[in-house]
Amino acid sequence: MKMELSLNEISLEDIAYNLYKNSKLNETIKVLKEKGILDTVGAKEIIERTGISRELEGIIDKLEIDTNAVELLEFIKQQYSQIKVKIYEIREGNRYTIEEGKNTSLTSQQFFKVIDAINNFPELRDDVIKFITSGTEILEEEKQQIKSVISNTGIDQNVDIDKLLKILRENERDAIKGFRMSKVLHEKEEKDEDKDNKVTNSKIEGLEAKIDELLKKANEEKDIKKLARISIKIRMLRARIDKEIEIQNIAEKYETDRKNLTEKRENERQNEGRENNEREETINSLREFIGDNIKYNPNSEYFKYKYSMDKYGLDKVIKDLKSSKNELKQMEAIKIEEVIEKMEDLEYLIAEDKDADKVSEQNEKSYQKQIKNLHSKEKKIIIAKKVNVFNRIGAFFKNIIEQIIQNRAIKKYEKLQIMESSKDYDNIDEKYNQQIEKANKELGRKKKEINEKVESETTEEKENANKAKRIADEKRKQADSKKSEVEKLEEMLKKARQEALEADKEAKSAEKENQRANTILENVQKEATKRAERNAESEYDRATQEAETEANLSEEEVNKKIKEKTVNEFRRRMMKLANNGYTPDDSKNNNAEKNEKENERI
Amino acid sequence: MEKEQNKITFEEYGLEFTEEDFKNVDKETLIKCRDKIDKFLEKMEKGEK
Repeated sequence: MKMELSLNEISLEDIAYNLYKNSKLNETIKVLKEKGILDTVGAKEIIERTGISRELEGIIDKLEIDTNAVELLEFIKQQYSQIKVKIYEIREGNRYTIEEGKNTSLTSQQFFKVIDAINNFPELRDDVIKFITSGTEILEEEKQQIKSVISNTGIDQNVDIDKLLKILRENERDAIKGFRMSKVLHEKEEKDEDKDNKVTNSKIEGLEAKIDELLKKANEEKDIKKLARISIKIRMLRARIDKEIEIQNIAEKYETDRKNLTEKRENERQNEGRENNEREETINSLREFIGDNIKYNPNSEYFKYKYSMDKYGLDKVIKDLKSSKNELKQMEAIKIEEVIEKMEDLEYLIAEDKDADKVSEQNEKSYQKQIKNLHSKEKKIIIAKKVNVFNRIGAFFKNIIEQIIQNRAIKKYEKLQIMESSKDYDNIDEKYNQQIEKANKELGRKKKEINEKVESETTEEKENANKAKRIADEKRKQADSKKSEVEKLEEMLKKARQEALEADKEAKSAEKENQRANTILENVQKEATKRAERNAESEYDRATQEAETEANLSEEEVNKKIKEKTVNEFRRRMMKLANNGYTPDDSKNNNAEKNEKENERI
Repeated sequence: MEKEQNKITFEEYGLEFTEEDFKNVDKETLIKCRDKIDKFLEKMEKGEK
């Protein structure tokens, strides 16, 4: 193998071979590095573009290549598709074959050329991908389109498109990878072209070169004012670089997420494909078995006719065959049951196959949705990072900060200029004295102005204060008089309350006295009544006895009269006593006198 | 340049940094540029410049 390093002499085979073979890659890159025609970025890009294993990135990182290799990179960029094909050829050989009647085969180169060609027609590409992943039918028109599309790839025009598509489907993983890579590379090519066009418009190429130039000039700067101004802008530039790094970190994170998601889906696809194949194999073998045993298939016309199934029914037919003494007929029954069982299995598998297709379709949709979400999320975050608060109020603050710092730098600079330009310190003193004098005058003028203002303001304020005082005095007097009135009223109220309390007390004691008097009166009345009764009875007895002794005539009448009179008189007296007040002594005396008179009269 | 305020101009040296300058610049280069600026600013703060 050649190891010439002049670009004109490096063959694509050499590059591809060296990139593919791990053992040689290390050596190749080392030499390329020594010659200064390859850097880390370039090597990584080659790996990315050629689809070589990511494990190789580690080797390149360890080499710490940092020289430019623009020329080689450009060369490889232009030739990437050929390099890719070469690599596949070295790795795979002519592996894409199909044996159906006439043997059909594609080399790796042809396989990927077909994909590249189809990839240029997005609608066609989408339909072919659908066919590859889910078996969606390709229309006849589309088949013709594929035929014309691949005419420039060197494939025989009479190729059977159905077989070609079958090859793509059987090698689903490679085909999808090919489509994806081809798409990415086309997009990248366009971007690179744009970038190249833009870079040529600038005198100094690249951010790093521009910054080098800037820092070089800033280092040479003698003017302090200028340097102060520039350092602010350099800090702003640094902040912008920081932001860009942050954005790239975010993009890397999302890229990893997408990669993981895609890998996961790839595995799912493989599993789905394997399960589909296994199921398909089983379905085919079941169909084959049922086809071979058509005479035992209860659905066949032969069976229906032979066993008169329409007349007796399947269960009866099987039962009769089983109960037959003929062994052959018994065997027939077993066969029929076996076919029925296989038919049930087939039905189940077909249903499962349909379900699996649906699940696969859902998984695919979910995957696409998640990828889309990741893209939009990333986009949103990056936009938010770019249009942050700094940007929105940036102009305002930047101007202010810049102005402040510039002013400080200018003042410092002016002071230094004065110091440096004047050797006569007396003059400097004089200048300063003049400035101080001027400042003092200005200060005096300001003070005077302020005093005048304060004085005029003070007179007015005094008048206002007096007026306010007068009003306040009046209000205070009014408040005082109201207060004394209230106090008087409160005193009166207090007195009235006291009087009411005393009156209440007196009323209560009077009531008690009254009750006591009533009780005494009641007792006296009771005592008087008892005494009067006792006196009356004794007087009656005495009078009766006297009358009995003095006169014996008309004893009954006399007694009756005396009794009536005495009782009536007694009642009358008692009523009188009770109504007119009573003292026991008076009553006693009066009663004694009256009794004597009465007795005399009688 | 998407937004005018994002442009950083060094009129004195005839240099201008726009959004275009940051497009397609890899992270390693960005970190290298930042380090260079940091060295310069450090030198300035120490008064070596």
